[in-house]
This record gives sequence, structure tokens and C-alpha cells, in this order.
Amino acid sequence: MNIKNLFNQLFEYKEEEEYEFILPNSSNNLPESKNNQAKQKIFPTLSVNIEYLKTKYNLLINSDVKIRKFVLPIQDKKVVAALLYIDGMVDEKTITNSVLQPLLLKNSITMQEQQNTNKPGRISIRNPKQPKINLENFIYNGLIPHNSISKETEFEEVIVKVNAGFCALFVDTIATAFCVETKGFEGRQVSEPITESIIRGPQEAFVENIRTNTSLLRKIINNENLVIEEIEVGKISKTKVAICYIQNIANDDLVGEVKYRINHLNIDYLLSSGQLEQLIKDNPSNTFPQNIATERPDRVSSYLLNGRVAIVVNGTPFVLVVPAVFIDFLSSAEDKNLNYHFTNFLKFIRAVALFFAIFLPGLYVAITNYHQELIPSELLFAIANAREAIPFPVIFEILIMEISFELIREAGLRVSSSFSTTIGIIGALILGDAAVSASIVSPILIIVVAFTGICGFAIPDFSLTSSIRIYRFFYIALGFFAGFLGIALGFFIHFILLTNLSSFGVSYFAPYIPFENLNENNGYIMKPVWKRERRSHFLNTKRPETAEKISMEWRKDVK
Amino acid sequence: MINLIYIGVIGLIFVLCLNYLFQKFPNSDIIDISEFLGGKFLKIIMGIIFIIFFFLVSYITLTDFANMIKTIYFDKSPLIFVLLYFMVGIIVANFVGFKSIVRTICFVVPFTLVSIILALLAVYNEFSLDKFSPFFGHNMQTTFLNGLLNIFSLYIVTYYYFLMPLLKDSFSFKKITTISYIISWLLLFFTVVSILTIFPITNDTEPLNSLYLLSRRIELGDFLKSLDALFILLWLISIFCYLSVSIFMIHRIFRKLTNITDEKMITLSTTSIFFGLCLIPFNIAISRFMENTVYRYLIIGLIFIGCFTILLLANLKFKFKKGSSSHK
Repeated sequence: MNIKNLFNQLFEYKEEEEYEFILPNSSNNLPESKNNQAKQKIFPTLSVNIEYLKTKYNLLINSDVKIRKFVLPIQDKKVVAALLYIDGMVDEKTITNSVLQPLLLKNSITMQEQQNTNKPGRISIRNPKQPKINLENFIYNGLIPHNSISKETEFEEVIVKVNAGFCALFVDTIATAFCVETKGFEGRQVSEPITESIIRGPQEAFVENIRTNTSLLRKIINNENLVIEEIEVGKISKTKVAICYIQNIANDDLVGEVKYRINHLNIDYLLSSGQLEQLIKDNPSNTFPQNIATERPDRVSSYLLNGRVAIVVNGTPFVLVVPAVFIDFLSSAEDKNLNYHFTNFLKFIRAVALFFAIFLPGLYVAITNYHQELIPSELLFAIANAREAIPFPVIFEILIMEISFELIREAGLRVSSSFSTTIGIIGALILGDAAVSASIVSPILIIVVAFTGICGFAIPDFSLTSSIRIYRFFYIALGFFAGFLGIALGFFIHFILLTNLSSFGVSYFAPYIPFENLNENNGYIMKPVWKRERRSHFLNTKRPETAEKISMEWRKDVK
Repeated sequence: MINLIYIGVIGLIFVLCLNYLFQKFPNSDIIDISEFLGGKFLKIIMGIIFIIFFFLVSYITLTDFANMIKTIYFDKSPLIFVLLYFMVGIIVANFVGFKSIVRTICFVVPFTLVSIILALLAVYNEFSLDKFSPFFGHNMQTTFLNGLLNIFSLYIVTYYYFLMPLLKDSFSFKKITTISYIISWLLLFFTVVSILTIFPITNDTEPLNSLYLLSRRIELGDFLKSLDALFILLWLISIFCYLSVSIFMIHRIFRKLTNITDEKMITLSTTSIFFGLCLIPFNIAISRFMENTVYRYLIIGLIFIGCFTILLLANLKFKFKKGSSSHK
């Protein structure tokens, strides 16, 4: 081996082996046979179909899956049929009025009329050979007066629809099932937003039902270019996920990427948009939010109209919007409804709140331990005086308070609203009075922790606040170990990691890093509404302009 | 003062010349150009020289700054404690990647610039124009001939030799180099002017960073005094950025010399070497000699003369080659 080869071997880049975690084999892990996975066609014999469905749905133990058998009189024959549905998922009135009644009553009336016309004494031309009717077409076209009906030939499709609230009609001698939409499960009504309340603006929020949510979007964006594509995610749960975008605005590559990521999720179940968010975000290990999650249809509509893509997950009242940049998490749904001067003032307040929410406790520890010269003399004396009776070091003191604050906050969120008031009072007493009286913490620290908490609440996005709550502890530790050197190190690493983030190909700090022309972008500072003429450049939309150069044309007419 | 403007203009002309000379070599840095000119031998020689150069420059900057931090805030802690923080920053930054480092710099630079200007404005009442005198220098020779050696302070041009392959679009090279040079010169100008106008010339021997001493004099009313720590915080972040870029450059050159696939794999080893280098206890005389003589003449010799000559000769070779091929 020559030196060059040795050198190459030593320094050759070897790709990291993929980490694979395997659980020990368990007898409960049943291997999925390939035959089971193959799509089973519907049988022409009803009894066989029913047996198949009984096995599939474990009907011996499953109480809510119903099979209603009945006889369908067609011409002079009587055909056996069965209706499959899940109790609680369907509207029984719809089943009775739109499915069973037409099948049984209308059909029998038609038959009776036909028989009456054939009675003796009436002039009728009897057709010696009655033409054979196509039963499948006859049922589909003439017997079920419902707008949403489909013919399925495979069990898998039928089961998916029945699980979603359809009822399936199986008729003997036909290898086709008729799936009729009879959804009627109970759900929450559209109500006011809980986490994103605003003063001026619509007071509607998304609910758990995907169709209600998409209709809320349709109601606002009254345009045929709004596309709502549906994908099923989860091998077991088959959760419906709707991808919404405006076809003539959103970038095709962005839409393609969203679809690609969602289509390539190899999971058993998907229960919420929070779960999906973690599965599709670019850097899953970073705690900072990379997708917007909102419960406001007006906010989602605004993003859609700007060329972003919304993802609605069935069963979750929070809709995801991608791509997201950092400044989105400091924006509120209120911003666009207010005068831009006031909006910018609020945005400035939020930026200040963000700074203090992350750094204030860390800075307090750093300053009191290492950089006392920064504190004005009078204040320094006051702090020293307040801390005189405290037996603990600052770090211990602040950790006690921060953890107590987090505990009270968590407890307040998890209990019902009647208890949360009590918890608030207890918290205030512990934080505000008892701890000081017991000389556990100094009053100045209470101010620091309380101010940090308030700053955290001023940030509109819950995910961002949660992330900040974690990083705050790191900054406290760094401030304690090395003062501003530690804080600087923490900030540098933090920022390096954040600048490495991207959301669906868009830099996390766009349009500032990398810097783009702010005339072509909607930056953090909000322009007057008549100057918001362009969609964000970093979205590369098909329609870069949102308005004409002079949006207020009426002004031109004034002379 | 005149000398500062003079070297600023000379530096700008130099940068414009670099722009012209690099036109023939899009997507190539000085290592590639050395290979083009003198084959692998010159490439390896230049690579090794630059690796040593970046190690030395980073060493001088870090030890200077770390010693200052230790003296001010950690007088009871060993230097290794302070150095470790910088090493952690460098390692993480280089693991994450160059793009993130550059983006962080984009964020930090405006704040650093503003902090220096603010420091300057905050002490404006202490300005004394007398300290500029003699305004035109002692004589022509000291201002324009000996003073030319001060061009070493514009060693930002070092990075221009490696910039081209890092750009998405080689046409923006001119714009980037010119703008960054002007920003760098402005930073230098404000710093020197503020120091000159406030401190007596004897302060030159002060071991602490002059800018830090300037920031100590900032007082905003009777309430806010000694705001130096805030400036230190900002400058610390700038030093993190600077060191990360320098170590990245070492990785990049090493990668070119050895053909390794990913420079991230040598991050730990490079930083360990750098850490070890910073821990070598040099006596004050050697440190001063390295800072004042080796550093200064290495920059002038390598960056302003050596590399420029290579670039010039490579251009001539390119022209000659092109001429001979078109002749055939």
C-alpha cells in the first residue's frame, strides 16, 4: 500500500451509518402477509360479502358496526341486499330518508304501479319478454336519490368510506357496492378562537371536522382557483389530510414538495396537525417552530392568498401553513386589521418581549454575578439590600422561581377554568408574597421572573413561546457559568442553529437573512395597506403583485 | 488621519485590481490559481502557508481577546476556561456549516458597526482635535512611505482570495468585495478616530483592547455608567464569528490539499490543534514580536505582495496560453 492510498483511506469521507432501533421480537407482532395486503374485490354473492366484512370488522366483538339486511323487490324478483354502516358516524335520518325509503318504498310503489297496469280490464300491451334490466345501473341511477354516491368494486375503498361515515349498500348478484355519503357524527360547532383571540376581525375558528374547516376557507376565498386536495395518511388511521392552495398563486414546486412529504409518511396513524408538523418539518430536531399552526380561517386565507400552502388535518382545529419564516411567529392575526402605525408599534413591543423572554433571567444572573458595574450604584445597593437576607445564590433563587412559574403555568393549563383561577391566586401568593416573606427569593427577582413571564405571553405564537421557555434555562446556566461570555456563546450557537433552519426551502430569517429587497417583500415592519402591492419574493409565487401600482383608484378621480 | 485615508485609497485600488485579475478565474481561489501557475507544488506550498497564516491570525486574535476577558472578568480562572468557550463556539459553527456562519455574520456586523459608532458618539464630548495634530503627519516619508506598512490593518483582503468559489454568482464578486472593503475601512476609520481623539498616544502600550477602554468612558447621564460589558457582549459574538470563519478557511484549504470529501470531519482535530496552540505559554516579548512584527509583515508579504504576484503571473500565463491556442 503506497502512502497516497494510506492517506486517502485515513481521510476518506465515510457516510454515517443510519441509526436503526429495533424492538425485540414479540409474539404479538403478527407479520402482515402479502395476500392480505392485496386488494380484495367485492364478491357477487351477498352472503360471502357479509362474511368477509364480519371478519374484517370483528363483528362478533364490535358493537357499533351495523349490517342491515333487507329484501329489494325489483321487477318480479326479490333481491337480497344489505347496508353496512357505523353507528354514531352516520345520520340515521339520512339513511332512512335517502337510502332505505327509496329502496324499499319507492321501488315497491313503482312495482305496484307496474302490476296495476297489467291487471285485466285495462288496456295494456303486455310485453311477452320483459327486457332485462341492469341492476347496478338501475339502483345507481333510479333508486337512490342522493348527490354523493359512488360505486366501488374493492373492499378497501368501501371500508375507508364506511369508516368516514358513509354507508355501503351490497346487493346480491352484483360485485359492486354503492357508497352513499351519510355522515352525521356529532362535532363541535364553529366557535370563537381560544388561543388567538383578536378584537377587530372575524371571530370564527376551525373545528375538528375537515370538511367544515375547508368550507370555512372556501367561504372567505371565493375563488375557483382554491384547490383542496385530499390525501390519506396513516396505514391504520387513514386520517384525511387536505392540502389547500391557490392554483394560480402558489409556487408549483412548493405544492409538489408538500404533497411529496405528506405522501411519503410511512406511519400507522396520524392524530393531529401537531404530529404532522413534526413529521414534515425540515429540521425536526430544532425546537423552534417551522410551520405556522393557527385556528383562524382568516389568517390561513391571508396566507393562502399570499402564495403559501395550508394543510388541514381531520380531527384537529389547528391548520398548518407552510413555509413559515421567523417573523411570522411574531405576527398576530390582528395586525392586518389595524392601522399600520399601531401595528408596527405592537410589533416593536413583541420584538422587545421576545428579547426579554429569552434573555432577561440569564442576563440578570450574568450581571449580578459578573458585571455588577453595569448596574447603577443606587440600584445595586437596593439589590444588595434585598438579597441580604436570602441564603441562596442567585442561580438557585432564579431556578426555584422559574420552575415554580412553569409549574403554575402548566397546572393552570391542565385544569378546568374554574380551578385555574384558584391556581392563579395560589401562584400569585407563592410567587409574590410567601417566597419573599420566607426569605427564599428577593423581591427584585420576582419582578424579573414576572416580567419574563409577561413577555412570554406577549408573543403571539404558542410554539415559539414554548421553545423560548426551554432556551431560557440554557441562558440562565450560561450566564451563571461565564457571564456575558456564556451568553455570547449561547447566542452565537443559538443563532447559528437558527440560521441553518429552513421551512420548505425558505430561509428561516427571510427576507432579512439572506437579505432581499424589502420593497419586494413583506418584512417585519408592516407597510400601509395601499403599499402592500407585492407578495413575498421568497415565496416565488406565480402572481408577484397583490395590487395595482395605485390601489386606491378613487383618489385619481378627485380633482 | 491622513495616513488612514491614504491607506484606505491604496487598499481600494488594490481591491479593484484584484477584481480585475480574478475575472479570468471565476470559481477559483488562490490555491487553484497557484496550481494553475506552478502546478501541485505551488498549490501545496501556498496551502500550507495559508493554513499557518490563518492559525497564526486566529491565535493572535483569540489570545489577545481571551486575555483581555480573563483580566477583566475571570481573574481567578485559568485562561483555558475562557478559551474553552471559544472552542465550543468554533466547533458547533463549523459542524453546522459555512452558510450559517455567513448568515450569522450578516446579522452581527450591523450591530457591531452601530455599537462602535454609538461608542464614538457617546464620548463625543471628550473629543479633542489637538490629539490629531500634526494633522498631516510628521513628514511625507512617515505618512506616505513608512505609513504604507499600516495597510496590514486592511487584511480583510485575505478573504477575497478565497471568496470566488463560495459565491453563487461570480459576477457579484466585485460588488461584494467593494462593499465589504468599504464597511471594513469605515469600521477601522471610526475606531482609530475615536481612539485617537480620546486617548493620549502613550496608551498604545496598554495591554487591554483600546476599544474596550473607550467603551469604559461611556456615561449616559448619572444613572448609566460603565456600559463596557454591553459592548463586550457584542464584540464577543463578533469574535466568535471571526474565529469560525478563519477555522473554516483552514478546513477549506486542507480539503483542497487532501481531497477529503467533507471538511466537517476534521473540525475537531483542527480545533484541538488551535486550542493547543493557544495554550502554549509564550513570554510577553515573543507575543509582542508576533503581534507587531510577524503578523504585520506576514500580511504585507503574503497577502499584498505574494498572492498578488501569483495572481498577476497567473493572468499573464492565462493570456499567453490563450494567445498560443488561438494562434494554433
